[in-house]
Amino acid sequence: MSDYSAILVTLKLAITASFILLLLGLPLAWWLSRPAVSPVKSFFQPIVEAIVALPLVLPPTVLGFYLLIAFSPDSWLGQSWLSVTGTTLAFSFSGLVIGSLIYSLPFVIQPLQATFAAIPESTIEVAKSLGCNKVQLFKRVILPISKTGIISAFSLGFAHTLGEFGVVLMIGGNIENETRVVSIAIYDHVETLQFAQAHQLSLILILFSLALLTILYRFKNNRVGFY
Amino acid sequence: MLQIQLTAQLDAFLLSVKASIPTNSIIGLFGASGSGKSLLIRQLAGFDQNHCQNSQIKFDQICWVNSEEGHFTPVQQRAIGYLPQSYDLFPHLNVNQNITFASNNNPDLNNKQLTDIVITALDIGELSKRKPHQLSGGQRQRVALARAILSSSQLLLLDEPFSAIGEDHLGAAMRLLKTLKEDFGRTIIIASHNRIEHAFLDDYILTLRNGSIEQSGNYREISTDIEGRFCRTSNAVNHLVAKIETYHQKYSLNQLSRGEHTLWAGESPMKNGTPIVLEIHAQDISLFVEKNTASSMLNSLPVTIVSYSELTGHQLLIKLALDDDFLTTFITKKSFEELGLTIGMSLYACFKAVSVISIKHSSKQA
Repeated sequence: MSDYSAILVTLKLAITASFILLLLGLPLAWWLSRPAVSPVKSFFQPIVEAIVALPLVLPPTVLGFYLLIAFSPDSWLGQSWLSVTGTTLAFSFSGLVIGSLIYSLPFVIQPLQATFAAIPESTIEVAKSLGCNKVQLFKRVILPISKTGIISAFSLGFAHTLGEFGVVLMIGGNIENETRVVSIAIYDHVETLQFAQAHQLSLILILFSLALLTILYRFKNNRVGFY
Repeated sequence: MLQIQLTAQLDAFLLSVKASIPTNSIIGLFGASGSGKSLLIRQLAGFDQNHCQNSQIKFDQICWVNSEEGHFTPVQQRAIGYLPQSYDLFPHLNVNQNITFASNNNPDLNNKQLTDIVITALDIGELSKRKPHQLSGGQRQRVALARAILSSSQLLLLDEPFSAIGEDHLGAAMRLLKTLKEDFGRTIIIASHNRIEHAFLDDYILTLRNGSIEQSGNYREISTDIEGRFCRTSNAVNHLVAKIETYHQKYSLNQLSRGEHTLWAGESPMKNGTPIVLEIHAQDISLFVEKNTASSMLNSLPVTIVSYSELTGHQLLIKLALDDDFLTTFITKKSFEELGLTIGMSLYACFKAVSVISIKHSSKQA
């Protein structure tokens, strides 16, 4: 039963985090993908790119450690969260979501940025000459052209959140129905020598991720047919 | 009037243009690669805003750019049609969705009559459900041209609009632009380095060199201004508009008429009455003082010497009046003196039917 709830928590976490990441990622990736015309932008662009890529190289424990500090009721984040919601962030589902956002950020931003960067500036100019304002430009040209990239970004963010372990361990703990995700449950089973259950959960995770990635690469390779 | 006063510094290139151009006309931009034709078109469209200084652009009294007052009308509000050399068809939309793209943003542009004319003239009706990646280069250019035409209510900015269009469609495409000017009141600016396109289309021409205007004026004046650079080139050509009269099967020759004169030219048979442009290289025209009937040169036109100018050491560039049009030719100083040529003298300009090298600019189904 507890394995079942771990799967539910994991799916809920992955869906929530990848949706929020997509919403935040679209404007940020667009900003990163367009060539810098102002010196201010050309100064900040590489810094922002480096920050976005940090979770790729840092051990999850570093992220987890600082998040834990930020979540404590002494910090401004933990304090304001406490005053608004009446709960603490550490060892809560919301805290896990915030951790996942940071942890999976590069997996969403990078494919989006690559897709957007592949749209020639001249195509955007033509769209404007055809009367598009900013909203119409995104709705009628940029988003539809980037459909494949957006699906990739969402799926990669989703798949990566599924496999999250270190950060969850640090900031989420192991609370059933709240922060106990599949990766933690597997760890737990192994610790208590319940290999059969560890096998079961691991296999589910492998098959699910494999299916997701297969669908994803199928879309990617059929780029043209997808339009 | 389209009034342009423009200074734009683009990296190392300075575009500096001042011109007043009549609207409701076809304006050609001529110049070598890198002379600034595309950049001028981009400035008129309203791109590269950051680069323009001390500039003023007014289209029919509506101010688009006034950098002193900090005014700049963004491209989407200028109601222009813009065709870049890269076409930029939208890959996720089919041909029909591409060409009607602008009218979805602005329903005022929805014009069934014009849409039908454009689709027919550019022969893209059968392509309507195809996606851009399923089109050939020429088809893409025709679709992009259609999309640009249907997105403007006034000014069309076309950068090399015929570079990939095949012979079969070229005549109809060029005549479509004339229809747009005559029946739909459009002003059309065309950048091209192809002289015959200018000869067929232009009312007015601007020649550019290193980002500045070298010559500007009515096409006929510039193209026969023997002191100007457009005309003073060793590959100077003449373009005469004529009409097909009959095709002589026996000789595989087209008999043409130009006013009261008869002309002969080879090439494939065409329907009677088709207007075409004849291209005759200046060096292929010979001058005769008297009408010479015993000659293999089939074409002989009565002309008068208007002016002449020294081209190189031994050559003179001669401007000849033919009715209300002009021809140019090269002759040696020796011939000029020995024949006793003077300004105002009447002569016959003769050329072989085989040296009329291009009569291709009209569609065969016309």
